[in-house]
Amino acid sequence: MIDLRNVSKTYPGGNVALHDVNLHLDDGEFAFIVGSSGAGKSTLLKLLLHEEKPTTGQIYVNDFAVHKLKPSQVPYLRRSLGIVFQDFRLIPSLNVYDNVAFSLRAVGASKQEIRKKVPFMLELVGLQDKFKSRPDALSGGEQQRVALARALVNNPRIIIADEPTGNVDPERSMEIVSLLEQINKLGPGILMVTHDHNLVHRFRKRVIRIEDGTVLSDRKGGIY
Amino acid sequence: MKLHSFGYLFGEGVRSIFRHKLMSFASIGVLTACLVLIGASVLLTVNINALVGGAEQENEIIAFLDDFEKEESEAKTAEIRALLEKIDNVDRIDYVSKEQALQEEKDRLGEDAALLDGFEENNPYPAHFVLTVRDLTTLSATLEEISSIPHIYRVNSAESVTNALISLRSTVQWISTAVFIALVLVSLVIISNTVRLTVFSRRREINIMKMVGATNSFIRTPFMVEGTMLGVFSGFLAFALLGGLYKWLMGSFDGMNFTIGSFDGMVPFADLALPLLLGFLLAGMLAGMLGSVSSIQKHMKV
Repeated sequence: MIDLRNVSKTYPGGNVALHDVNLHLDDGEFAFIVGSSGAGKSTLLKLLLHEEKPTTGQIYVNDFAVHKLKPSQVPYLRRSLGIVFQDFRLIPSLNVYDNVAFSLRAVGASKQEIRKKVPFMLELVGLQDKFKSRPDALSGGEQQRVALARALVNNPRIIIADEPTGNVDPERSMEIVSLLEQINKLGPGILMVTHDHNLVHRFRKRVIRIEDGTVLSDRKGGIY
Repeated sequence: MKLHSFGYLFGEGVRSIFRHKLMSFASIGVLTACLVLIGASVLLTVNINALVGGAEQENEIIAFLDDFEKEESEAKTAEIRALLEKIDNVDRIDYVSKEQALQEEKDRLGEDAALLDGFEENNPYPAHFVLTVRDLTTLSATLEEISSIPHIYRVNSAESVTNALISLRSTVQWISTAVFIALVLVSLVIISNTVRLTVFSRRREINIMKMVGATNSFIRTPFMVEGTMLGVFSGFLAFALLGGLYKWLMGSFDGMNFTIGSFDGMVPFADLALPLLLGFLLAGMLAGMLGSVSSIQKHMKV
């Protein structure tokens, strides 16, 4: 669940990134966030992840009041989210298996749990045969699927994907969003930032359009 | 933190040393060089202190006694010795009788000892006490105390030499403390820059850890383990290098048959080895561990 109430963010220097944003996303919902560059999409994600704090307003993510979260609680907020980035952010020195296991180790999972969950996730994203490969030996699409497996392995309630198809060719982009749609059916909500019109048209999900720091439109089954 | 997590993080710290070979090599190099420099300054100070201390030990006071009648000589001498023993600063007390004094003079003259033939009957050399003091800085007061003892008619002491030695020792101590502090400060700057560079090259890794919900202690532990291991290794390496260098220098001095006062060469390495090793290990560990933690802190605020 994501709930933003009258959220504004002004950066030092006076740059207003978001202005009076109200937004609600139910558990298990799938939504695209669209908008031109500099519209405030990245700031919105940073606020959800507690990378930035709102200047005013309240933010609730899952069971956390993010706007007044103590630093010691931040890791637990992030564990309730699965995060996928445009540039994958895999650790180059670790192989596919260890990159996925990394998320589990970070939350103190036992060896048995890791041995059980990682192969399951790799199978889900179709990379069970490449578990020994290093990220640089994989294509962009494959790297993003590893990142997706890593995001999923801790059973997050929401997956936040920041332009996950930005570095992937159109065909692989469709595969990744299809995979997200499949994951969504298993339970987690999906909030995906994208620039890709075709993807938005094709999947017909809720579309939240942000321009100049405000929510310009918010339509279910919308187009962009 | 769970035990299996600690095991994993410890292993990660160790693996990381080998995974980032170049940075590990740079860190060890810098830390070892700093420790060797600091250690060398400490060893130099220890040796200069031993040299000055040795010269101080040689600095004797001679208290000449009045001539006594034969029958009362022993009792009077014992009385004076007892008074000398009461003076706190007096360390060693050796008595030289009139006869011994004459004999010493004969020995000194060697072949010309015959010049003193016949003096046995009417010995002009006075009996005296040869004294050393514990603390040269209060020598003047001690000399006054000795002079005030009855039947001591003169006290000889190279006070100007003593003052020169005291001022030399205090100068050496000031300079060595200043050099030590300067080296420690320079080392801290170099070490923290090296560690910062190491951590900077891995900020992406730290960022990923933060994003998947790792706690600060989870992120910090492998860096601390890595820093500590590198520090300990550097400590051993610096010890081996400096020990080798010291022994080589000692060998060179031995060949020169070098003696000043009671100082007959460098302080044996065996006397210095344990404190030096412990100091290096502790300094290496602290520098590695604190350096990692302080540098990583900046990247934690995500």
